[in-house]
Amino acid sequence: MRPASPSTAAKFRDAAFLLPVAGFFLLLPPVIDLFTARVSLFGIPLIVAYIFGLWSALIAIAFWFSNRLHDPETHAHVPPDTSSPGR
Amino acid sequence: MLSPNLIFLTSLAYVALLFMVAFLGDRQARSGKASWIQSPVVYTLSISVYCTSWTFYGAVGSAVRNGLEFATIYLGPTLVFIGWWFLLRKLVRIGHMHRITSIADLISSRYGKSTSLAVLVTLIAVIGTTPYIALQLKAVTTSIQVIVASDPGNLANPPSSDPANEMAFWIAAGMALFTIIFGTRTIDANERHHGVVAAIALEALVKLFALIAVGLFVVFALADGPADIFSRDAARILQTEDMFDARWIALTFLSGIAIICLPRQFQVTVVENTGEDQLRMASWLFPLYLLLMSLFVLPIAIGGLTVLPEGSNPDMFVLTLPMSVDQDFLVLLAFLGGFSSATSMVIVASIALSTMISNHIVMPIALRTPWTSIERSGDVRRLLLISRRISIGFILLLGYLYFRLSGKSDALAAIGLIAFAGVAQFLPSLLGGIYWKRATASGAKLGLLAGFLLWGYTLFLPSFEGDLLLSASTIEHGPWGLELFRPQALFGLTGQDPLVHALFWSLATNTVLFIGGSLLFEPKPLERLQGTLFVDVFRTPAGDEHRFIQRSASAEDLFILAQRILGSNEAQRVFREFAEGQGLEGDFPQPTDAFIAHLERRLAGSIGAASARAMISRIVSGETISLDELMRIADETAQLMEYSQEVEKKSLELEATARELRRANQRLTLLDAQKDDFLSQVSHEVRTPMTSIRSFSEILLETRDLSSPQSQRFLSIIHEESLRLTRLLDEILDMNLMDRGEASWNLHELDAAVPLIRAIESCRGLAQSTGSAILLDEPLPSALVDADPDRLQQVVINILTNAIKHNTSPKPEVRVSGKLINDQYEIEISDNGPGIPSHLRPFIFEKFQRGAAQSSTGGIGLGLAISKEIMKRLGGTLALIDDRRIGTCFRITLPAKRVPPQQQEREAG
Repeated sequence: MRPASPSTAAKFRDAAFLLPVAGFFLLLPPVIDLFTARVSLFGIPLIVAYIFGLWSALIAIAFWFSNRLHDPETHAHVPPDTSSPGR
Repeated sequence: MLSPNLIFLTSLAYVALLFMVAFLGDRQARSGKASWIQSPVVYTLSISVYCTSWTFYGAVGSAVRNGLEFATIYLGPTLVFIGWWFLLRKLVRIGHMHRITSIADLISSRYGKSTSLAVLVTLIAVIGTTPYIALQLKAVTTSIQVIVASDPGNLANPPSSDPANEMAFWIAAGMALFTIIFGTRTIDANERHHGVVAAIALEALVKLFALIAVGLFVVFALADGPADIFSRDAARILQTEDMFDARWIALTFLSGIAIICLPRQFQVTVVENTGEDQLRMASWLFPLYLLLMSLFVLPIAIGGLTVLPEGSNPDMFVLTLPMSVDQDFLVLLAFLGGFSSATSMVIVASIALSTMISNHIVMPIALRTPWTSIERSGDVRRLLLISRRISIGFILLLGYLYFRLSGKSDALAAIGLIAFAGVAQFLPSLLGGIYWKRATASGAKLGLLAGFLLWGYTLFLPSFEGDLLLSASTIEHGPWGLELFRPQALFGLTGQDPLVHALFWSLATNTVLFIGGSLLFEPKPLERLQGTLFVDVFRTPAGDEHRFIQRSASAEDLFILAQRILGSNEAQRVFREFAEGQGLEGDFPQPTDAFIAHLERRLAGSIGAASARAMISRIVSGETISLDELMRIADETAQLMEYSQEVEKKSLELEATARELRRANQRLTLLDAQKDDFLSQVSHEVRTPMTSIRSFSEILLETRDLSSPQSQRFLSIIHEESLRLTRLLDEILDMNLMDRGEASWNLHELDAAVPLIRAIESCRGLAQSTGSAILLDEPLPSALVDADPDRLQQVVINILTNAIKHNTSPKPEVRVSGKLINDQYEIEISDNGPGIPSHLRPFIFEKFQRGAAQSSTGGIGLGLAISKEIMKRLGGTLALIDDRRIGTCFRITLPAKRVPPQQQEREAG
């Protein structure tokens, strides 16, 4: 499951940072005010469907990310002494 | 209708089950077999201690009163957990590295292992948690009263509170007993409680199952599916128009803080964590748990409002709804769910708080009394255990007292939010501590104290509605009638929800003072060190601590100390392991800085960082913290952070260049060696004929009466030697000329077979003299090529000569074959000799390579290099064929121009 390249891993780390930020943004006014209309989706009020739908989506994405996040140390961390001849 | 006895027996049986699970869990963990206890699923379930009876009963009540607001309490933690990589992972890593035992320990450890800070955090935590525990007692007693005392018609009237007090007391006592038995059996090295975690995980399943069961019952038995439920009066509950205001934002934020800062959450998430993989799964599984817990809150709320009589207590809908239709089993299940939620919270919270009280309040006091008193009183461990047990009882007693004091407040949710806002005061110091190196203890203390006082003044005390410290008129009009200081409209900030108001003032002041104080006061060396270790936890190994702190102590003193805290077996183990690591035999390691730091961390795992440091400090001498070293590492890591990307790229480029250079260098060295070899070879080759020419000419000059045949012989030797010399020099000259492209060429069209056959013929003499055979497979094909016949002949002769000369086989033979493939004239010359050793193969065409010349036959190894160069000039190739197992095979190719005329004629005729 380990991502093939360091840049893929870095992409996942950036995305993982954005996920809660995006979730927060989508759950706060003014975005959430867009879904307060009194309409129903299959009998469920729109706002309820929105909140629980968004919630499920966040969980699904977090699940997808969970095994793709890895420490950068393994590839990005470069010890300061690159001068040693063995390397 | 359920009888009181049945409720009582069921509760008892359930508690017995919990005991059993906790006991088994403890025992298996001790014997090291308990992989299931450390599984990420159990870990996640234990985090769900977040869902207390406030969730189980209160969420529905909250939904009835404030619509969707209940969801914020679960959305905040969801956001924190899906962002685990950035905050929770760091907390967990720090917790592991520094053996953190509680949130007070983390904050104190970060700010220079400050005892006063630990005490402050502990006090805030205790004061903030007490109402929360009271809330659980209230929920359980109310639920029992509701079930026992009410017939469905009486559901609207809350039962009287007198018997409740007695009941609450026994419930509190029972919980204290359970917690003491499983929470303080030992002082665990890492402050982990496997048995408790197992029991909590079971309770998490029970409450989830119960709430879902009630929810499904409401949606599908009392109503006709979700659409039907929402068609009944949903709009009144949802109040969507003015729902999403400052309070919504504040609550989402606050619950996100609470999942980190609540002492019990810190306990299960950070302290009980055994590996980052647990967090990996919890990052999505815990939000999923929260989602499932929230899924049926709205349907149950709507169901309660429409099915139950007007005025029923919405906080008990989860119980009263199944009661109203006499679903006894479901009622019992719901009761157990609520019971589970309450007990798990109380157990974990009191463990977390008792650890804090014993480590940060009792231990420092014990340490302040003269050292001998602890020595005489025996084991520090026993002191710790006893103080923890007493603390648990004390905490539950406080909760019980609060319950009696605030008996009249009906809304469960309000109490929970007050607790949240209290522990939220930890946030600035916590976040600042792990992301900002400059944060200091002074700043943290100022911020925490101010935030705590403001929280108390604007939220906690007013919640008593005049019964505690602040009178009703003070709350209404401000102290001494000063309107500016009205607790719920501080400095004229009116029109805000009290919670938002309190949160704003307390957290804003807290943050400003924290940052201001940190900037104003210089950090002490130890704060600076801990700051670096915490902020750079992913870069600086904890074992590095000893680089900065130099201390000395005797191994015996350290051992006596360790024995008191860890117990003698564990202390012996720690000492022996470290001694082994140092490569020493015996039980005592060298008391190096590294060992003292290691031991201090081990002790911190039992008694907290501040106490561990205080105890170690008593027996070490000459402690110095090397600031220079600290600055150096801080600079190093800061630079690393900034340039790590760049460095990575650069170093990759560098590596590639270095590889190139290394290769070039190797080649140069090799060439240099070859040149040296060549020169010495040439000198040698020139010297041999020169010597014989000189000596023979000397003989001729000096000896007068030399017979004619003798002088004739000498002269002919001289002649031969000078010819050899000339040949040699010619060869070198030839090579040189060819190198510079100045050799003379006589190119013209000819039949390739002609010079080949001539070359073979001229080698026959040599072949016969060595007893080898030259075999021609088939007659060589004819083809016109553009070539210099002499040069081509020279190449073939060279290869043939080599093949004959170097052949050591008993029946030497050289095989020649020619083919015309497409437009290529191809000649293969192979022998059955010893072949060329594989390590020489890549070099045989190199100039100056004398691999071949090292044999007895002499020569300076220019032949093949010249041949290769010739073939290149002729537009063909000379290659060594690699696939032979025996002997050597060379292949010469030349581009053929066209079929020779006589063959055309034959075809035509």
